[in-house]
Amino acid sequence: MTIALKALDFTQPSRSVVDSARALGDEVCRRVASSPTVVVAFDGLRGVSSSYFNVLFQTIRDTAGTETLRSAVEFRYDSDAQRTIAQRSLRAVLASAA
Amino acid sequence: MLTVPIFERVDDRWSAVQRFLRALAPIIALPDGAHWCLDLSECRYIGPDAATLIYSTVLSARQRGQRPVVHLPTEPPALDAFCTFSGLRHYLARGDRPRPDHPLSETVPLQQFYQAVGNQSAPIVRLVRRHVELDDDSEFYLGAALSEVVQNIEDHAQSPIGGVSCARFLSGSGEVRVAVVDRGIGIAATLSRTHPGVGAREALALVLQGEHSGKSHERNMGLGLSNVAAIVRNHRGDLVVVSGDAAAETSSADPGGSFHDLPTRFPGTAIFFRLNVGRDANGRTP
Repeated sequence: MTIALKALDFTQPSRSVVDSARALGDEVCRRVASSPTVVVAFDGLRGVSSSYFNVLFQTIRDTAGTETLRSAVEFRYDSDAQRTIAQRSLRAVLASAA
Repeated sequence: MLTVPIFERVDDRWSAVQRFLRALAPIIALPDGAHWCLDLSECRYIGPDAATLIYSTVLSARQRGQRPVVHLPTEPPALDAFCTFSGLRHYLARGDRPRPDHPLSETVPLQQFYQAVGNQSAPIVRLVRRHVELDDDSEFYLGAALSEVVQNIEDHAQSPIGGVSCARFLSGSGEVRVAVVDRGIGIAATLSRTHPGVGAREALALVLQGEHSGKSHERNMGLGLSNVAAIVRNHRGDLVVVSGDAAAETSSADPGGSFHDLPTRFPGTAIFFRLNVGRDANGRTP
């Protein structure tokens, strides 16, 4: 069974960007333990920096492992802009683990 | 009491900002407890860049027990309006609070912050949307550019005043101008943790290139300012970074960037960027 999570559900207007990313990352790690695939959708997510994606990817990598980050979590972006910023972070996080 | 009069326009071009920084230098060098006056009454243009420099200088002065006085211009009418809408008049001269939702306002007022939060770019996006359509990509990039700068201040700057931001939308040209200033340790001091002995100019070149970080936190990957540079280059915009003893400029016309030594040290980091979110001459959005 695939679990779908919305990044927006873990953000609040006045909450720190990195705290929001960490909360989402923790939830991904909880869900990935019981489901072969977790989908994270970034629909409507705005106003976040590379640090948001760095923290999200690092949290998953450090808790669930690099292989889980690479293959067990699917990230769905709602714009090319989001994809560009996020994938640069993903490459950096994976490279720093190597 | 030291009085510094400003007669020139302080628009958002680097040459004007450079002259303004030189004029502010004697004020910045004053000791704790000093009295000073910045007289802008004859100045005929102030934009977000100058507004953030003025407000951050006043906030820093207050923290140091100085007694700053700022005389703001009252003409021409457009500048008088900017002084009100930006909050300069409220924060420096006890004038009315800025009303960002005023139909004539093209300004996001000065804001002091210490942390990057989820809705930081919302006021700019609301302002732009009042004037033009903003597609998903442009909205994301605008928010990301601001968020990168704000996150850098939270992560690295150690600024006693946090950061100060201000933005303006020019409906005629479809241009968003964003200015963010801190009074922290500067980019070279941060980067020297991982690049010992790095100079101010070299530090700016490295952070704009990307993947060089002072690693204040494990989450830092050195992507922030290089992302901002890439965003402005893709939006017919430009970026100026002033930090410590050096400054850097990059734009869609000059992607390699140019780097300068400053005649007087700026005690912190100032980041000014412009993005064009309107249509170009061929009717295309960025």
